Amino acid sequence: MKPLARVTPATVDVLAVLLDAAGGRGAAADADGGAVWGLRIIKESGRPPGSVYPILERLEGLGWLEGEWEDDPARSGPRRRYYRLTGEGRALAAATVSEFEAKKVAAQRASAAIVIPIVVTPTVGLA
Amino acid sequence: MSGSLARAAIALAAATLPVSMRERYREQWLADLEGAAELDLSRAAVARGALFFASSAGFEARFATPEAARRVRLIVLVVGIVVAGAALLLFPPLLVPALLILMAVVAWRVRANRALALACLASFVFLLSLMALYLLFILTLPNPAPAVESWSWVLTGLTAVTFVAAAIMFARVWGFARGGGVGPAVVIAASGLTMLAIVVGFVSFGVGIGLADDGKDTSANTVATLGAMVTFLLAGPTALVSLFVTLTRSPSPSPSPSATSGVAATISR
Repeated sequence: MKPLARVTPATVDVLAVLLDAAGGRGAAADADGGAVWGLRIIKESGRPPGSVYPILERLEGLGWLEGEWEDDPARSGPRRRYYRLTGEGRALAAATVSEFEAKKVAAQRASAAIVIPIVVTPTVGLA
Repeated sequence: MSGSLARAAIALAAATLPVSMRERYREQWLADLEGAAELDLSRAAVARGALFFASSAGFEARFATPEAARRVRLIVLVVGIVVAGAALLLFPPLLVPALLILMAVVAWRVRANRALALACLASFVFLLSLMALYLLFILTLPNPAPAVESWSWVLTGLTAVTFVAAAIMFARVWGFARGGGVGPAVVIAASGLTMLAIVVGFVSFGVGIGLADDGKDTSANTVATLGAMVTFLLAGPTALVSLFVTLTRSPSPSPSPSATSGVAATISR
């Protein structure tokens, strides 16, 4: 299991969808034990496929995810690819998402705390 | 996008992938294409995603093995040294753009993405100034020979194309630089572009100075001198900043201490 070299907002969105499916963020676990169809991850994350496909590839390569083919004899044609977080990947994903959200909140607080001093210059008696 | 066009795009994207990935992604994307309507997603988006994947992650997967990466690094290094050496021998003031090649190579080695982005930015500015100079050259020559004028237009067109490529590359590298790591495909393209910019610049100054010598035309001489000054004034500081950023970046990106400890704590639980 390797750490992520780069954590982008899109990566966090993808991890959040997978965590939700695994029941890791308060939502009910997926009926298939947390496995999510790749295209559904795209839909739920709101990110374009061009961002999500490389993220899934990277996460799978790092061992955070495991991919599996759909096993539905009722459907013919090409099989769908499902993804689920591995045990260790789930812990890493939860930590990554929490840390990212904490940093976001801190940044928002810091920007809200900026005070602009207003200096009032007396203009009476100049003459 | 029609279904057959989208399927053709997916077939094309899959065909460019390494053999080990090809069948897997072809089936996955075709299944996504068929199911896109079910999730209210457009088939065009799936096809675009497949093409983007093939041009980024898929392309980079070709260099994933250490042997392949080492081979490509060696090729880029040799080409960089040859091009920079030849350019320096023929025209010594090209030292600054040559430094940019070195920055790109070093940036690759230490993953200093900002340095690479700055090298691209230098190419971008450099080509912009060249394009303006060619046009100025055409406009200021009182009675240019037809051959000179047509060559100048060819150089202007060539520079414009390279300029657009530099702009796209800069946007791409800068996007990566803000996020962190950058793949070898981007580095190869950016390094190649920097070299191309230098070749174009070399031809430009060669033509400008040659014409100034032959034709005793002071305006051409002025253009060539001005071109050299503008280029080196713009590229010089950028190269220095690139050097600084390259040297101050850590060799390999790693998660922050807090992230590591947080993860460790989560796992131990």
